Amino acid sequence: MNNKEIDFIGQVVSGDVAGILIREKNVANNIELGDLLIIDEDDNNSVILKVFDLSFGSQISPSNMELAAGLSLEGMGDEIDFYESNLRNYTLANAKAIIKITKEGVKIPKVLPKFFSKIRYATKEDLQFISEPPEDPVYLGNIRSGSKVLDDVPVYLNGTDFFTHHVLIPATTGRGKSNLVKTMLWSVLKLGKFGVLVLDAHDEYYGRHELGLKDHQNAKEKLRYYSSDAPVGSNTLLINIRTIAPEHFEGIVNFTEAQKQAIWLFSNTFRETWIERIVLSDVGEFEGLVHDTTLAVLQRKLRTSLGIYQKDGEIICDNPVFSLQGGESTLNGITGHLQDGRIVIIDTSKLADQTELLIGSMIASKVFYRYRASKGKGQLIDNCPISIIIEEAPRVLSNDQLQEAGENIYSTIAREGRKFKVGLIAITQLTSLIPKIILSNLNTKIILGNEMAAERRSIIDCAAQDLSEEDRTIGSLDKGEAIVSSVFTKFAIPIYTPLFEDIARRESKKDNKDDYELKLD
Amino acid sequence: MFKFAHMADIHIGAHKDKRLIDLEIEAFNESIDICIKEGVKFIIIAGDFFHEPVPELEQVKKIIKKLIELSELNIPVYVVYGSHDKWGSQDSIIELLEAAKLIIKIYNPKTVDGKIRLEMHQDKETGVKLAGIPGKRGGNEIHIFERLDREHLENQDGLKIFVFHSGIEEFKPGFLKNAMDMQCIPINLFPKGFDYYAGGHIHKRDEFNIQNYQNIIFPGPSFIGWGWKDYADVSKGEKRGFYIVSCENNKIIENGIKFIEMNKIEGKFIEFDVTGNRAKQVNEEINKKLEEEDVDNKLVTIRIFGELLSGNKADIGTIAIRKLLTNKNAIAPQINDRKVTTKELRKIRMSSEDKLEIEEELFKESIINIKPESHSLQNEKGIIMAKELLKILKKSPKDSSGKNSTALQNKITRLSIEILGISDIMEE
Repeated sequence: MNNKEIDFIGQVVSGDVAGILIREKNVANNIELGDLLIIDEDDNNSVILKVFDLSFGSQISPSNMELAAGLSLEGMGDEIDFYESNLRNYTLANAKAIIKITKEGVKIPKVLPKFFSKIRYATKEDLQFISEPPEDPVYLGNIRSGSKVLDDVPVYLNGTDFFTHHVLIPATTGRGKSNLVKTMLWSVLKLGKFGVLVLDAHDEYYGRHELGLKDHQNAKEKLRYYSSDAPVGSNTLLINIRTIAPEHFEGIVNFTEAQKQAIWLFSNTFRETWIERIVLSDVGEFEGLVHDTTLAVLQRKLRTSLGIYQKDGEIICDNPVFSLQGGESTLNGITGHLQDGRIVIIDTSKLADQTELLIGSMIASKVFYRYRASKGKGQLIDNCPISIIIEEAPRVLSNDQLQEAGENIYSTIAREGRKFKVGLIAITQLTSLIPKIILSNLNTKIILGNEMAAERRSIIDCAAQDLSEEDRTIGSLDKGEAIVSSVFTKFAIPIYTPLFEDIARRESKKDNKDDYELKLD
Repeated sequence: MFKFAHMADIHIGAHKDKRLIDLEIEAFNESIDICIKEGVKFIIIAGDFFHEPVPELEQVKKIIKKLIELSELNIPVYVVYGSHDKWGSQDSIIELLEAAKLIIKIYNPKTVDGKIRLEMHQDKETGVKLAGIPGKRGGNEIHIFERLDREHLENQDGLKIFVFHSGIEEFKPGFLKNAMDMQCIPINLFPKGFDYYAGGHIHKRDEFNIQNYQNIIFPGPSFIGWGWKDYADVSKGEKRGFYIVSCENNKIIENGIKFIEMNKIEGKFIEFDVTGNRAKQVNEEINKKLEEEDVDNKLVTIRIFGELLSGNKADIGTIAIRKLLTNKNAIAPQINDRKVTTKELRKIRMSSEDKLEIEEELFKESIINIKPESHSLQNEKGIIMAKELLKILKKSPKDSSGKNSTALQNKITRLSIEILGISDIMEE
């Protein structure tokens, strides 16, 4: 490129590997935190730098500056101005070299760029290597330089890597987490190769009354929606209590050792009717083996978690989801849909917290153990990868919860799921509550804005790349802006996720007509 | 007060065994006799009256005789097609019976503003209003449900019955293991607020109530049904039958829904676990056990499973077992040894033991490997087509006298062409 044609915006003036100091050219288009800058080297190589700090620089001594400000403020020097101000006062940007682009490919920079190199903004052409879609691409957004979005440079990750190696989405409220997940799932619907279970605590993904995943042209084939209050055509969420196994409660409902033993006794003896037997105090052959108080506490816990109790010798279930009638194949059905590469949204907005976790645990257990068995039979290769999205992840993955209630299926998946093509997408505002061992297993982090310094520190500590200088950047991320740090990317990629509604409006099915040729006879 | 009867999945013509054929007709006649004795005002048959669109005429003749009896007593029979009663555009015996005014089809659709509006049929004597949706092959009736004008039906007054021949997604029984096994209809595609939902298609008796939908009833087959699972269920003692429902003042009376058991056939279900035994030893043990069993005039189902120590499945003498049972006057003995393996064969063990499920599993596997280009051959569509085609091709081109029949051969060819959807190409 001819130097004359290039809009240089700065020049390297000092620094070290941790931070290269750039003097900014006085132009209207100021360098921002998170900006991606380019140094073109002699041999057609280039280095991408990312700005992580900004400060003022001046050739005038601080005491003279302070005097000049005093004169101006006290009304004694309205006419005072700096001689050749643009030259003497400027902005210094501190940036880190994050990637070197060579003919052979992209590399982590191991040497400093040439001293006094000129700097320009990164362009679409510089970042082309990112937008090359991998196999089964999952779309996360477009690359972002500061707050400038390069619309033509989409960021994708390989779906299988992304889903099976677990994802963490740390985000505080209002930073665009739902928009990100919806956008991501929209691209998954295009692929139809990944099963994703969404436990939707706010009923915001399907789009019951607004644009949502239901509007995707593949939705009919690849999306299933379950709700206790299902709109026409979708599934009423109904789970037969006889399909509930003791292990579904593990780590979700706290049981004492005596209660656990009683549960296993009932379950081993009465098989699928174990819950009914407990509720009815029908102890059968082990009269005296289970203490009355243990049984009473179990009944109370089952009533709290499942809404099931007895009245005049009859079992009553006042939870809209759990039932003695129907729902026998719901869990198998959902697992089958996931296995067939469908997104399954479970509307849990009207359910209690514990009910939501319990339903998630039932499905997650079924998926995990089915896939583990498939691996044993050598059939795992035919199975679609499955991912489970869990909001407010510390409810099941926090240190406290794991210590108090023991391991649960989510922590098991976090540790072992990758081997069986089962992944987690953990969404949280409080990363610091999740144990490091679990965080280190979540190999992709999509970091959205976060005002809490302690949380930012936890996120940075577990990122796939060194983000130690990104603290301020993460704090300043605006709605829709994020940083993708993954073991599958060469560097932490700044992205902007476009508004889901815009994508859905542009790409949604134009024609709602069913293509099935119906004969009325 | 008045009563009506609800039966489904009668599957006349499903059996090949002479005694079962006779018992099947007897069972139907008896169920009608009970209805007459109970004074029912009408009978609902929720699909699969017959096992195939044009069954053996000898059996149809006997059914017609009974239907004429009902007609003479002014007891109307309301039906919807089941997935076995009609295949595509092929003629069905149901049409013939309707033309003869022996039955009344209650699926009366018309298109209004892009929706399918069902005109309700009002029973003359009781004033009960009925509407229904037929079952279609591969669960394609879902397209009717999706376009159904539910509001029109919900706004009708009086005692209303909705007749259907479909599985309901939320009430799919546990034995239908995964979502792909059967296309089912989500409950909220049904019109709300009917007094009675008369179901068919699911071969298991069940009763459900859920908000907005009361009295969803599946009677299951009224005789045996068909296929290994039905035979095994009846052999294990599962009761077959139908429902009689009592109504008063435009309502179903409390506890007025009664299942009528048909004790037409006694069954015997015997299992043998062969694990750790040699094939020869297994034969001896099975023979010894069966010699002791009372199987006289019983429907007998034998399940043999486990891992043989030596020998292979073929060494188990199923022909001899069947002969022994037949000599002891067992009815249509069914022997299932599909879960018998040897150590060498463990790798190809199938997860199912039902012949149809095994076929489906094999199709599933094959369709992944073949990756057909044609959209109609991919995924579930391809599997459904393959299953239907196999079902047709399994039919013998020989008539009941054992001679090759050109008419039957032509029928097989025509149905195969229809299933493949290549009529136009073949005409060219």
